[in-house]
Amino acid sequence: MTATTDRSGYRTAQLELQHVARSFRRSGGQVVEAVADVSMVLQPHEFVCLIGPSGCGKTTLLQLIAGLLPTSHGQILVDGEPVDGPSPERGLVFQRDSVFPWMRVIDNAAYGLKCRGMPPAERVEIARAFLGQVGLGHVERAWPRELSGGMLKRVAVATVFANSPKVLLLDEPFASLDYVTKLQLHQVLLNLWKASRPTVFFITHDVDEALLLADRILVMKAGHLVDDRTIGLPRPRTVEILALVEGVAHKEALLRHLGLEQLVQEGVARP
Amino acid sequence: MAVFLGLAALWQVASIAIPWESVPGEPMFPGWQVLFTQTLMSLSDYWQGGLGVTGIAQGGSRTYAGALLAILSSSWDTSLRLYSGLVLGALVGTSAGLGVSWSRWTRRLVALPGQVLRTFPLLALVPLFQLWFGLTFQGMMLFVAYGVGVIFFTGTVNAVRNIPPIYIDNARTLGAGRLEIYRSVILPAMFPELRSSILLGLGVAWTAVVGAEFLGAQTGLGQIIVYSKYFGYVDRMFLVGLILLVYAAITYSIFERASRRLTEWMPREYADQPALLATAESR
Repeated sequence: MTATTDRSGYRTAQLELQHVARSFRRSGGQVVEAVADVSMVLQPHEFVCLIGPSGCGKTTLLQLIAGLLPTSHGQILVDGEPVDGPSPERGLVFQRDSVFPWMRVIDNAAYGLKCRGMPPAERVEIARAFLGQVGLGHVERAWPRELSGGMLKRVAVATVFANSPKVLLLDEPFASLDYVTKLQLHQVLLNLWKASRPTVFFITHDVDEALLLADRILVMKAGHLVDDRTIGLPRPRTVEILALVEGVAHKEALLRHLGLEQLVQEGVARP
Repeated sequence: MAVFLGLAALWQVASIAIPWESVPGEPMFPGWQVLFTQTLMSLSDYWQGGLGVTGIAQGGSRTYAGALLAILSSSWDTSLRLYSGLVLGALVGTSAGLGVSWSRWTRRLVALPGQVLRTFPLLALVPLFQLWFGLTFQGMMLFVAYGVGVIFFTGTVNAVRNIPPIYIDNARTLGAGRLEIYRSVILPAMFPELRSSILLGLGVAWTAVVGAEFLGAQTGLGQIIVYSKYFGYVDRMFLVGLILLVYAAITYSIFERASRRLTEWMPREYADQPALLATAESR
């Protein structure tokens, strides 16, 4: 691990994929290539969003990086070390609720630290600090069933950040939330990211979300990466930047990738 | 409560209205006035003597104290067989059930034998256990353990299968090892599903222990029933049945209390709130 922490003391890492592929055998017997051939490099600290239509292999790609699935071909390197199974260095926020319903909020947030053998007093203190940062300090003794969907996402985010991962993976984490809650959680996520600067790989199908968050946006279609664009929009970003000339240009191009050519031409999808 | 009183009254009506006798002088439906005097007293026959109360065999007479001691000592013997078997069976059954998902090797080791053992009819195995272990405590304990164990095995395999994989994936990406996943994810997540198996296991445990005692135990509540059958003492059989009922009720209520505490985290279920179900129906 050469770049465990960079000069500034942040925990971050370079994430590199070399010709990664993954296929599944369907129950009918035919082989499906969910991820056909993906190569990319995410630099330390970079916030990268991946967008693509549903069924394009986004989630499979994320599971490969997380180590939950083995690759069929190619390899995944974190700071040059090949990925072999899950690791707390690669934190994952799931699309569906992953918060353990049988643990109180604070125990959820401290779970990763407990797995790493941190003594109770210490891990509770860290978990409490992160719950405070996501605005859940007041419900640390609550059961997850008592929380709303947005609050559960906050717990999941706090849990992952408490574990101080070098790489943070997010699989359409806010897709099920309403618009306002989603914008609030973007702020929560960006604030935590600014404080610890891990490398972020964020999957979404929401073009606006990607434009609000990312340094770079990748587009995936049918198991391949088909676009890679750097987003130079200034931070902090607000919803208004989507109306800037650069924002509109990116959005148009991205929507075209998602199959909205017709609508873009007709002007329907213009912001 | 009203239901119980109704049932008790019904029994009393039957005792008056139906004059059948199993043997002359022993009514098929003994009334409560008989059960709580004569019958209760007669249980002192099963007291071997001691603690200042002379047993019938030593020439003593029937007393309530003797009856009480007989009930207590028989209950103690039966409970010991029951609970030691229950604990052993639950531990072995659950461990074997967890073994099915632990690794490929443990699966090969336990999955098939578990499925085969499960299909033997329990009561048909009574003579086999008797030949193997004689009339020993271990034999009866193991018989109960077997009956309970196969239920826990099946219940555990099924409960583990129904745990949403996302929880296990989440634990893995947070750095949990296999043992930690079993301890902090699989055990708590499977408990609600296992609850019905535990209740079933408790019922089977009572059946098994009385069944084991049928076949020639020298002490215990089941033995009193067998002995009573020889002489047509319906009243004694019924009284012991009532005692068993009380014990089973106590066991269930303790389990219910413990399980409510263990599932405190669960969303409130409709089944716990009949009023909610009623409004849902009326809508």
